[in-house]
Amino acid sequence: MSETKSKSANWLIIGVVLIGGLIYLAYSRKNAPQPAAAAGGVEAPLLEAGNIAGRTAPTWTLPDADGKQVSLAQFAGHPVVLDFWATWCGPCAVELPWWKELQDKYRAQGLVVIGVSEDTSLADVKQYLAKNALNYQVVWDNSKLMPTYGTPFGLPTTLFINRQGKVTERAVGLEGKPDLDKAIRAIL
Amino acid sequence: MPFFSAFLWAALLIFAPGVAHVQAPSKVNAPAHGSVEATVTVAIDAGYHIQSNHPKLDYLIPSEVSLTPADGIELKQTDWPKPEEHKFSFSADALDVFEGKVPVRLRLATGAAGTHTIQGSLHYQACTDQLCRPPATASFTLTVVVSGH
Repeated sequence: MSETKSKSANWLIIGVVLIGGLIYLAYSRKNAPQPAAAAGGVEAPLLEAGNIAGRTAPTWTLPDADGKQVSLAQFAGHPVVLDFWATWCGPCAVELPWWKELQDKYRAQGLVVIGVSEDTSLADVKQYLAKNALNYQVVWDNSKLMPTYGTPFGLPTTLFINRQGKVTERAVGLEGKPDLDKAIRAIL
Repeated sequence: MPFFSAFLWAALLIFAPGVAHVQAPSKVNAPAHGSVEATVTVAIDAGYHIQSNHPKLDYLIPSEVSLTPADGIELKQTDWPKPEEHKFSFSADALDVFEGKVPVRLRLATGAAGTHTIQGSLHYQACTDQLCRPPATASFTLTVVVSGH
């Protein structure tokens, strides 16, 4: 009986949050400015929130720490991991050594790991990289790209993109290394 | 991840544009050319913590309260309570953080008599045990009624 009540309460919470969320999203979208097609170096249409598996990853062009422009299109045909992170993000810092290890582990199979920094200051990114050398590409986004991937702002967020340029999975929050490894194997 | 848990995570992210809020007293009375203390309360949403005013790790963003400069009122000192030491899944050592409701005492110096409405802000950066949200600012208004000569 109490289990039935508990289940009912769960569904009631889901219902209330869902209805409130739909109203909020409808209001936000109605009032939100429409992004320009090429704003911030982002060149493709928005991916929606929710399940985006099978959707084509929007391409983009962003600067690396030295100001050199890097585009997702450069890595066409490769399995790609996009790791959204920031220097002030503790959970992200846990994953960074894992990305180094996984980049090395699957480099021969073409894996490209790209760290997408959401710091507002490029100087902070440079300083961090000077202290913590990474063996994979890092670009500076400053919040332009993340909404394009339909991602509510929570770091770390990771997208796995297969050789056909399709998103296979989006992971929000700190994951276990075995889970990340498994998600990579699925795009090799 | 179980469906219900995943759903709540998503809801937590999508519907939480700001996770720390500042509650200020409606009015503070103070003597002219003197000093007064005003306590604001930082209320942090359940499940989140914000960094302390002096985080242990240099890459973490400290919590800061500031007041827009105004004639007749000057913020002389901000007293935060002792932070909580909390060990998270992402940290090897315990971190200094704030959770729940946090009273912050503002020590103000006053000038001439008058009613001053001052804009204040809390700059903070919030995380859960699993993820972090971007640095954010929560605004508040403080009214100080200064009387006397």
